[in-house]
Amino acid sequence: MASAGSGDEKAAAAAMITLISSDNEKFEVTEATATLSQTIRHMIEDGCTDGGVPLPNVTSKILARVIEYCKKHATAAAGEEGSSSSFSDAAFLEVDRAFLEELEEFDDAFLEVDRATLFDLILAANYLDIKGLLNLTCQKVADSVKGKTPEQIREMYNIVNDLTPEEEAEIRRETQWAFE
Amino acid sequence: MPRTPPPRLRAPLALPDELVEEILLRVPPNDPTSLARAALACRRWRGLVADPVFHRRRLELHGAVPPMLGFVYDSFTRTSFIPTSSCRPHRADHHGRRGFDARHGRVLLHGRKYEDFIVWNPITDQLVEVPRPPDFLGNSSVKATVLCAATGVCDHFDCHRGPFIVVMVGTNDDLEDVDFDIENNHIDFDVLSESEIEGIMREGFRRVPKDMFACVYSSELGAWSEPTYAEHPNDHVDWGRSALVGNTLYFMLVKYESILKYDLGTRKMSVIGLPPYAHAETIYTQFMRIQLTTMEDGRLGFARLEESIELCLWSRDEGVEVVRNWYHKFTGWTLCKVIDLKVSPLVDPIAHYNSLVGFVEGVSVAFVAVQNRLFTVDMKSGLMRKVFEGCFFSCVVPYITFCPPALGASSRDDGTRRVGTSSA
Repeated sequence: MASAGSGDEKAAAAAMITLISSDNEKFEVTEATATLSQTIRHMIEDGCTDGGVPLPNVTSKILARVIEYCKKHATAAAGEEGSSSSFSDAAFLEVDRAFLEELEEFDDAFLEVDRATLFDLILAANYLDIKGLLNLTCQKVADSVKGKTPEQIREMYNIVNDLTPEEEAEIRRETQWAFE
Repeated sequence: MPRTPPPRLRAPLALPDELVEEILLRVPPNDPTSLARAALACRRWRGLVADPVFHRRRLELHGAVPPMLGFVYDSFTRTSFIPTSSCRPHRADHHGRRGFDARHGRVLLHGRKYEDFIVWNPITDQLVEVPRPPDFLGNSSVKATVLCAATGVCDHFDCHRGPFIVVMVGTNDDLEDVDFDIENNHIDFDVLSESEIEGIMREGFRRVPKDMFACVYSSELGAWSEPTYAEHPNDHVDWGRSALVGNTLYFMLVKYESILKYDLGTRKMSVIGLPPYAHAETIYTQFMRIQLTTMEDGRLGFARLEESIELCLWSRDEGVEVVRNWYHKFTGWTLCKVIDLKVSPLVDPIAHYNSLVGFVEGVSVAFVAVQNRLFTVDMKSGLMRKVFEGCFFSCVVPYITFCPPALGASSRDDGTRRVGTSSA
């Protein structure tokens, strides 16, 4: 198949890749969308995507969301490449800014999911090696612990407290400033 | 020995350690509280947060500039810590003590006498009294600062529990007895200035500038070093904060014309000149103040309020040795930013009592006091924000440090770290 990085950019962009979820659902995506995943990019480079790319760790429900993310961000990446050539006038910057804002809105809406889905997205982003998505989803979880007590954090994430009372007391003593 | 943990009924979080780490890495540096609390969620999370590798990665992700966790303000009779982050020191007020400076997680307080130095660590709430420096030092002026003992080689990420040094600089005068026997012509009052005569009347002796000195206290040695001396600068050391650039400390001198430079490595002192004020009349306002700082690019810089309304930021030119002479007094400095405080609706444009009381190194944010209100001024955007109100400020010292939770040495060796990829 047309390999990425060859002279024929258009052919590469138009090339379609089939992704197969763990529950055997098939998703047709453009190579530009698929290669946001470093894992898939390497597979394409190695020429082992004929007949589809099986993703046994990702369910169709999650894969659909991941593809939604990749589609949006692949367009953004393409847009950036276009504008970073010789056009850097005010009009272009304005378009860029509007687009970035739109992308931010998309990301915010994208993260409006329950915790189980969020964790599945983190796992998928890690497995597929999609840096942007991993960062986005992990940041969402990190933000959620802000201002919470240890008890609330345990509650939120079904964490069983296996620290002994002595250990817990020691940590509290050493980080007193965090519990005033 | 830790007890056997209760059996796990289900995966605490259906994510492998490396992903929990990715999440915890993203807790912002200015929110150390959330990270410390998250570390208390369970043994596994504590293990992740306690790992030094975790903190290296956190530095890489968020950049090497430590956040400002709060500031210490000095209202003459007491020093108070005002948090600007989630960090809440156990003891926020120190009555009868004044904030001298802060660096590398420690605040240097001094008591009623100049010689009483106390090093306060707001994170651990530890107070260390520093033995009195030699009596014969600093009978004319004194300023001191505290810093990590390993300055020059330390990244100051988590050194606030380690050894520290206190660097004291100042000026000494010779105190000459005055013989009031005019007939003997011992003192010729005609050649004395008015202030000298005033001083003699008040103190009963005559001050003759002798030298300037630097002396270093080491917490490891528990003792002050032998002082080093240099030529008297014909000036006094100012009360404002020092600046640290690489291995060199800078202290302001009172006339606001020059800076004392002290090399921590060679222990040598010298004096470098400052550019003159744009408006000569500024010198006559009592609210002028210069704040030395370290610029974002690591150079020495200083902020100065001109006419009580123009906030100017200067940076020292690399490689240009500033010679303090009449003709080239201000070579080696570049004015890089001027913020007109008049444009802010928060500032009364005709009121000449704005005062520059502090500066946050590394991020270029100034503390400006307008009567009893304290503002931060972002030198990049000019954005002004009220951060405190309620007293008159003489000096505001930012408390800038990374604050990795101390989770005990034991937690690092209990085998919880990366024993598997999942606890499911």
